[in-house]
Amino acid sequence: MIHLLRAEWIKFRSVRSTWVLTGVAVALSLLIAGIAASADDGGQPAVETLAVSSTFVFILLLVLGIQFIGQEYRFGTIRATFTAVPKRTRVLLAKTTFGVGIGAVTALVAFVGSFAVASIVFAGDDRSIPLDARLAETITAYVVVAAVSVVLGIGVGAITRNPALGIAAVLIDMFVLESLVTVFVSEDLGSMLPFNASFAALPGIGGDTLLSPWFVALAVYAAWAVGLLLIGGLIVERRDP
Amino acid sequence: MQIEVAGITKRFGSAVAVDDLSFSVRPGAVTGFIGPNGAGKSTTMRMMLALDRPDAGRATFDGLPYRQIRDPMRSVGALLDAKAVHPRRSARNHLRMYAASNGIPDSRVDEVIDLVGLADVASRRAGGFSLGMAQRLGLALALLGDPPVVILDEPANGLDPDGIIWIRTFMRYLADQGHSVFVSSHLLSELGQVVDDLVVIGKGRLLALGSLHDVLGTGGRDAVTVVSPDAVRLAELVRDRGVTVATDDSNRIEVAGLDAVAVGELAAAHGIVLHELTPREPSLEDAYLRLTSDSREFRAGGAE
Repeated sequence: MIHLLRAEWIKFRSVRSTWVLTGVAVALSLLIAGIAASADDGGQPAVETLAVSSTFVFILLLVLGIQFIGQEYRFGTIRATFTAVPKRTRVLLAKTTFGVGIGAVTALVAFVGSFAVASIVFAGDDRSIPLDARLAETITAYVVVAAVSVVLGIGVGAITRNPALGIAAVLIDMFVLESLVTVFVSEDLGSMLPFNASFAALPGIGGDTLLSPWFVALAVYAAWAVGLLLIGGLIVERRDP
Repeated sequence: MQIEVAGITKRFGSAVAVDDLSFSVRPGAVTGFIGPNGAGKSTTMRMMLALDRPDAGRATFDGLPYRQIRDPMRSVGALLDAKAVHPRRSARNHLRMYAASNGIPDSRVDEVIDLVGLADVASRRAGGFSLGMAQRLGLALALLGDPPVVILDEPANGLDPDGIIWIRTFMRYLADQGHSVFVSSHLLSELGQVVDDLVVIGKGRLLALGSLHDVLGTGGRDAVTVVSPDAVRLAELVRDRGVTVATDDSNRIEVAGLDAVAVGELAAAHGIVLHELTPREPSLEDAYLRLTSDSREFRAGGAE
């Protein structure tokens, strides 16, 4: 497996799109943390300014996950990949393991950077973000949701085997389907859908839903990711690339 | 390493792409896998490499199915689609990522880059490569693990004459080193005399199998070039005997299936003047065209 992880690392570092996605995720989180901290009037816990960027970061990491597998199908490199490693589930497992690592590292950098930016802004008002249990909870949730987002992306990428289709499917679900279900079918059912669950997975941000507290929502989100990954694995195994 | 393909079959819906195909590939030889476009060559190769799932039959390498070979790049090297590269990734990184997956050191990457003559462009984005350069990159990938078996799908496609000679020489070199080389082409002339054995297929079915000379024997036949001021009438007479005739201008015809004696006597019997009557040795291409004449998907012009 160490060989396959090294192969994934080379694939990751040798193209620009991966650095653009992770770089934009980090830059955007710093920018949003700065804006949120400036606009914050002290009416809410200071730590919440750090999680405002979460949606954008998670979408970018989701796209990264879709690209991990979708690009290989798009450019046809998947055939040589499966010729080199004919046990396809091992390839998918390596991509998932690597994706979890990259997602977690990116989120950690984004979060720590956001903390630094927000702390500087708050310092002007003689405020600070307390180093307490709430901060620990938030950073844990932020990093884990980020890692799960990459896994979910890999699942979607494996199912669609086409990056554009995968990204379109995710965006339509996120901005249309889940809202429609929440409004017209059932608020409880809507809250269990993957992206609504991912919003509720950050302490204090998602508000009160059926899935409170936050770690229940995180578990539901992770279950979606694992489920989609398993379906994707089955499809990749069955279909001729 | 010996390759055995036994009764391999692939259907796409109701169409049969590969139909109960069996053959073997021996070490130390170049085995040509030829057939018209759409005959099922690529599908067969993909099934051998466990990319496509066969509906029946199997392919084994020294008795092992491909999926059970550990670090298969060290046993079987494959060039399937030379253009399958991430366009923004450098050639060197393209090779490195596959090398890593089979535990092949980076030093070997630089070796194969030198071997195929891409050293000057190895840092450039593979998306900007010409088809000829891409074929060389694909060949480098196949050779990464220094495998005893090399499977090449249309490696000469898109190469200029120099490139074609280069790849022929290269295949000969590999076979002389003891490798099993299995190479497909839709043009037998592209492979030329470099092949030792032939597997000829058409419409997914085996048409001929054996050494180059065996296959030539079954597929080759007499051919005669005739020049006559009355070529049109002669062509009609010859065609009545159920023989194929090709003309390039009004005076010259190519008769395949009758020898010079028969054509000369036919002309004399009908008082047709001949300016030239030249028997031709059955060529590789004639043999191939005859073998596959019933299985060509698209016929250009036909036998006129």
